[in-house]
Amino acid sequence: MSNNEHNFLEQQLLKQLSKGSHDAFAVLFRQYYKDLVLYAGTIIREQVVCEDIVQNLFLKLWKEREQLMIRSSLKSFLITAVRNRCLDHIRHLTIREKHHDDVWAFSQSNDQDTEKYVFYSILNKKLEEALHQLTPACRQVFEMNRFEHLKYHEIASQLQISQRAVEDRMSKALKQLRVLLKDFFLLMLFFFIK
Amino acid sequence: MNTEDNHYEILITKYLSGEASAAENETLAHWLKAHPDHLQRFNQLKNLWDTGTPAFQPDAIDEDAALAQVMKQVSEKASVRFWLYAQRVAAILFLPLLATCIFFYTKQNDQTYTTLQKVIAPYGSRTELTLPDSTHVYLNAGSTLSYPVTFKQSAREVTLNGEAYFEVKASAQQPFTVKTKQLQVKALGTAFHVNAYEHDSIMAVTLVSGKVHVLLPHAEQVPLTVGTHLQYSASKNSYTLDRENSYKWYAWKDNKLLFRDDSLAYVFKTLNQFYHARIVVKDSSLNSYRYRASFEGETLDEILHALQLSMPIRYQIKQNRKVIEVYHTTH
Repeated sequence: MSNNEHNFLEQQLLKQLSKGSHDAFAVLFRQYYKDLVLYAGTIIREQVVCEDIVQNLFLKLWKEREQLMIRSSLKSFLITAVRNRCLDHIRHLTIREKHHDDVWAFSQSNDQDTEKYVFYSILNKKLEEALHQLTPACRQVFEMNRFEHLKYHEIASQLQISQRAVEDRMSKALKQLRVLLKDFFLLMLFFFIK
Repeated sequence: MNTEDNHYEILITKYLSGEASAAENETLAHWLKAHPDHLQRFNQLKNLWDTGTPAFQPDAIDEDAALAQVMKQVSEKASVRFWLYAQRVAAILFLPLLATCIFFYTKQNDQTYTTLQKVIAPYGSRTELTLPDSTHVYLNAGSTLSYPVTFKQSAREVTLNGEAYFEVKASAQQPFTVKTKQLQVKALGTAFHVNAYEHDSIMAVTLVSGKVHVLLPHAEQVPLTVGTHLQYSASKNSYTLDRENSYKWYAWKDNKLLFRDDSLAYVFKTLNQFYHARIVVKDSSLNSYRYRASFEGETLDEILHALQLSMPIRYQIKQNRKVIEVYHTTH
């Protein structure tokens, strides 16, 4: 589907939503629910909380369907809203989350990147394909970390290589993936930016 | 790609897989802030990383169940909204729907029976009604107004527990009196606001136009001038007069909330009443902070969020949103 067709369809759905169409609401919900919950999962680790946040957002969308003003794309609007709600939730926690460090704080404070975020449902398929094109040594380390959740030092001792070599292969794997998916990331930008 | 870039790619990967040390985190944060391109590179790798290692199994997300649950609430909300609308119409049209009960009471002078109508605005909702003499009344949340179905020839008397705004139909022969537990307000044709909840020790009357007399419990009569807000303290048995910003006291009738350098204690009390919420201030040091803002149509969440931005508070929603606890951020 081209960018224009996608936008057109979404505009039609939003129009029907503003008139109170349950069907349009359900279509939008199905289109975004899973991806938004997984996106929330990158900020908050509890699935129940993430699902709650996204469901409440959709309820708000419904409640305010008549006054809805979406200046950016719907995708960007939803991601921004989910992120704000997640950050709000974390702010209310008494025990600070583990990944509340400088890198995290800074990368979350930036608003402009919601357009560039690629949803799980779209990226994962591409990622699986790209994984098969990695050099075997990099892929092995990457998958040990990813699927078996092994720490670097555990991988190092299992493969009998240095920890530095594990670091090197991990970063090479990610870099290769990024290069393999570079065109795809570019394409995503053209597809979903108005 | 040069070796410096390589170094940061390794750092990012280590960070994402949770292997970076505190020093490495700091280096990375510094690098990210150095150039917007760095952040973009980081975000792209993080996007890839997050997709490769989702926080929970995508298949474990039950989209159908979630949609069913949300749809249920969507339908419920529609009927609640209709019910609120119906209550409003009912109050205006005088239909005895709004928790109205009719009872009899004996008038001691002439020993005749008068039928009293009682209108209740439950917590979290406001209502409007027109009395038999065409006097218009806005009743605030948690208030009860009793009035006779037909007024006597010589006087119009209503009884209020709570807060109301009156636009009294002029009639020189038939003075209009609002009775509350402690105060009485006498008017001819005028607009004024009364705040007299039985559970509060502070009561107030604000005169908007015309002329009223406030009768205090110890029989002192205070004439008010337009724009004056009288506040009576039952515990001190004394009153104060205030002529600043009088609109804020009765802005609720126009669905507005106005705070004009009011204490946070007052702000939260007003929010509790307006939204039927239970906001509990956990650090009493907060109560004396002053707040200034105007709201119209905002949800409670939005107001709390706004408060949090300008006041040293953080709040925590507990027990399925029934209680909201407010803390001082420095505590």
